[in-house]
Amino acid sequence: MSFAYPKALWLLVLALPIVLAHFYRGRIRRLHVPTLLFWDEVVIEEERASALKRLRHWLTMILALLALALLSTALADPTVRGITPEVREIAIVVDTSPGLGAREADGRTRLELARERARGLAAGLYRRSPVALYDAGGVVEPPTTDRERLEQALARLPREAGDAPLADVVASARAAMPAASIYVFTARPFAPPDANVRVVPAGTPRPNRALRSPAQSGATVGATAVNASDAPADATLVVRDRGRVLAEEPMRLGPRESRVVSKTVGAKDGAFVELALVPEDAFPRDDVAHFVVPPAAPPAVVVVSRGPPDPHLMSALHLMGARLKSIPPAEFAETRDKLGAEPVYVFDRVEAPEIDGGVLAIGAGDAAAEVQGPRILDWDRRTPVNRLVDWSDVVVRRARVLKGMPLVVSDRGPVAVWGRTMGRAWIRFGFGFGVADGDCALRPSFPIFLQGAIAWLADEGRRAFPREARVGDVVVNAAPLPEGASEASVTVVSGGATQTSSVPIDRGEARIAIVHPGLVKIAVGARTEWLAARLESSPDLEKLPREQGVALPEALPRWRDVPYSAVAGALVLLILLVEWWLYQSRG
Amino acid sequence: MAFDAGFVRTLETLNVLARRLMTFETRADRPSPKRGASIEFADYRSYAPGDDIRYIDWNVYARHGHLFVKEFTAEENVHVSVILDVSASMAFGSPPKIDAAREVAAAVAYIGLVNFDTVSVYTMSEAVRAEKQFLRGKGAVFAMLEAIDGAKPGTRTDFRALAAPIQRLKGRSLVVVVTDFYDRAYAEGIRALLSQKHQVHLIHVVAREELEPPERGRFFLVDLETQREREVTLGADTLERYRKRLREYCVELERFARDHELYYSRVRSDEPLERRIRDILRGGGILEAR
Repeated sequence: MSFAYPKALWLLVLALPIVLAHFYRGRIRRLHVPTLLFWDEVVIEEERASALKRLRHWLTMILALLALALLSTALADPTVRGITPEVREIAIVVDTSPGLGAREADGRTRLELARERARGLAAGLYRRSPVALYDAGGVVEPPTTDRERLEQALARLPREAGDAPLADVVASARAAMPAASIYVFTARPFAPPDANVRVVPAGTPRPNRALRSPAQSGATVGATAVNASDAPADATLVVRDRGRVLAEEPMRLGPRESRVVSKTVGAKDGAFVELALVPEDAFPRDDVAHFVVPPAAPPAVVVVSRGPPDPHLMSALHLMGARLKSIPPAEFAETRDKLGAEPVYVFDRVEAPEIDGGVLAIGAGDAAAEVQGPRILDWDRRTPVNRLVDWSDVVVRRARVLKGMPLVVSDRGPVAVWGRTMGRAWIRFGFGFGVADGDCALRPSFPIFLQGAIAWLADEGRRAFPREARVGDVVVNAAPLPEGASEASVTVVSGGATQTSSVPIDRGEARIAIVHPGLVKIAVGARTEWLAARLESSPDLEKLPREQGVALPEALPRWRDVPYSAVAGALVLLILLVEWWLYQSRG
Repeated sequence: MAFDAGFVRTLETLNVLARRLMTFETRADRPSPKRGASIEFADYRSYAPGDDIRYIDWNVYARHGHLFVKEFTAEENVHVSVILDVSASMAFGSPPKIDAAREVAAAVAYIGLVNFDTVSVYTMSEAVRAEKQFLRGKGAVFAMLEAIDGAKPGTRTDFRALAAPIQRLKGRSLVVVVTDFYDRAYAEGIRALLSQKHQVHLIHVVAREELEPPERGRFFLVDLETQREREVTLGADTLERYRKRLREYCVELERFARDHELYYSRVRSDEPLERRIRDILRGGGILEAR
C-alpha cells in the first residue's frame, strides 16, 4: 500500500484524544437523597441493561476511530495493490487517412467506428490512467486523465493538418510515452513495431458478396448479385448442372452494387442448376443459389388403341408438339419395358392398367354404368388440368359414370375423374373424344385442356413435394406417398458436399426440415424427387460481422472506478449519523 | 422555625372533624356512639330491670303494650394524636420536608385544641417519642407549637415503633401521621394502630426534588437516613425508571389507605401552607373549612 499524500496520516494522532475522551468518566459527585429505596431497584434494572450500554460505549468509540481512519486515509489517497485499479499509460492513434472516410454497411464511416471504439477504450480505463490521442498530424491531446478533454479531442478528428505515415505517428507516440500501450485504430494493414502496440481494425476490411432473391421461370434462373463491400469486387458467375459447368461469366461489382443476373438453361430433359459466385468470400453460404429446372422438351406420349387412334386426339397432341407414338394394346408391355415410366400413356377406349407414371384413359369404365345423354353440371376448377377450360356447354351423347375424385360431373354422376399418388398420376374419362360420343374434341379449348392434362401427367402430377423451398421452411408432402413406406431418405447436395438423413413418415406425412441451401433429393421407396433449397434473404449479409482484431482491455467495473475519497466520505457521513443516533438513544 | 400570627389566623378557619364517633371521658362537640344523657334522641330498646323509668316512652307503651326506653346520644370530645416524622430523610428538599410537615402537624393540632379536643404530639424516627400529651384548650397552643418546633431530628424511620406509645391511650384516638413514608414496613405500624381501633389519617409529604431530580451525570447517591452510597449515572432512562418507581409507591400507599378505609393525602413541601391544607381537605376526613 502506498499513499499519494502520506502527511495526511498525521491526522491519526487525533485517535488519542478520542480514546481518552471515551475512557474519561468525569468527576463523580455526591448527591444526597432521602432514601435509596427506589434507586436500589433502579440500579438493578440499570445493571441488567448495562451490557447494551457498555456495547454502545465501545461502539461509539470504535465508530469515531473508524471515521478518523477513513478521513485521514481518504486525504492520504491510498493505492492498494490488487484492489486499487492499475494505472496504465495509453496512447490512442487514430488513422485519419482518407480510407477511414469509407462508409460501412450501417452507414457510418470507418473513422466514426474507430472513434467509437477509442471512446469505449477510454471509458473502460481507470480514471487515473493517462490517455493521449494521436492522429496522422501528430499529437491531438497530450496524456490526460480528463476524459472530457479526451472526448473533445476525439470529436475534433479528423483534423486537416498533417498526413504523416502511420508508422511515424506510432513512433512519435512511443518516444513520448515509452511505457504506454499504444492502440492503433485503422482500416489498413499495419504491422505493429512492438508487442505493446495493438492494431484495432476499424470497419470491415473483407469483401462480402451474395446472391439474393433467387427466382426461376421455366428454364430461366436468376438472382440478384450484391456487393456489400465499399470496395469493388471481382467475381465470376458460374452456372453448373450436376457439377458440369454450363457457363462462366466474369463480372465486376461496384461498391455496394446490386445487379440482377439470369441464365436460361437449355436442358430438354431438365436440369439441376447451381448459380455460384466464385471465388468464395468470407461468407460462402449466400454465394450460391440452386434450381430444379423441368424438362424443356415436350413430353413423350404413347397412345394405346385397338384401331387407329381418335383423329381429334392425335391432332391435338400433334399441335402441342408431343413426341407421339401409337401402339396396339398387345405392344404395351414391350413398349413400357423399353420406355419406362417417363412417357404419358394415353389409352384410347382401351382399359388402362395401374402403372407408375402418367395415364390418360379415355372412354374407360364399366360398360354397365353407361348412361345416355348426360348433361354436364360442374367441374373441378381447382385442378391445374382444368385451367382455362369451360365444360359448361360440352355435349356428351353417352358416357360411363366413374368412381373417384370428380373432374367433370354430369347430372348422372362423375363422367371424368382424376387422382395421384407419388409417382402415379391419372385422368379417366367415361366418354371418348370422337364425335360419336360428343362434341368435346370440337371445342376450341380442347387442345388447351389436353396440353394442360399431358403436362400435369408428365411432371407435376407425379410430384409429392414442391419443386422449391426456402431454408428454414418445413416441407410436407402435398400428395399421398406410396403405401407401406415408413421413411424418406433426404440427401442435400451443395457444391461438392453431400449430406443424407432419414425422415420418418407418420400417418402418410413426411415433414422435412430444410436446413441448408442446396439441391435436396427426396427418395421414398423407388420414387425420387428433387427440390431446390434456397436462401431467400442473406442473414450473413445483413449482419455484416466485422473482424475483431485485438481485444480491447476489459472495461473496468463502474464500482471499481469510484474514488476512495467518495466512498470514505459517504462512510464517515453514515458513521456520524449512527453516532448521532447512539447519542440520542443513550440512557 | 417559628409560627407567626398570620399562620395562627389561618389555622383558626379550619376545624377538625372525626369521620367516626369516638369516645373520651369529657364532653365535647362531637356525637359519640356511646349512649348518654344528652337531649338528642338516638334509639329505642326494650326495657330491662334496672333501667331508669324516666326514660320509658309511655306513648309507645299505650300503643303497643310493651315497655321501651329511649336512648340519647352522649356528646364526647376527640383525642387527636399527631405523629410527626422527624427522620433524617425529612431534612431533604428545599425547603426541607420537615418544615412543611411541622406546619401541617401544627395546623392539625391547633384545630384540635381550639375545638376542645385533646391533643398529643409525638415525633417518630427510629422510635416514637411523646413530645407533649393531653393538651387541651386554646391556652395549650403555644406549648403544642413549642413541642413541634423543638422536636429533635432523628435518623431512620421505623413505623413498627408506632404502636407502643399510642397503645397506652385509653379508648380510641384520631391518629394523624405526617411522614414521607420511607420505610417499607409502614403497613405493619399502621395496622398496629388500626388494631387498637384508632382512626388513622396519613399525610404524605414529598419534596419537589424527589419528584423531579434535577441533576444529570454520574453520582454517588447518599441515603440521608443510612448514609449508604450507591453509584448511579443519572440519565433520561434512569430518571424515568426512578419516577416510575416513585409513582408506583404512591399508588401502593393510596391502595393501602383505600383498602383499610384510611384517609390519605399527599402534599408537596414547596407549596404554601394554605394549598397544603386545601389538598388535605380535598382528601377529606380530617379537616373541613368552617
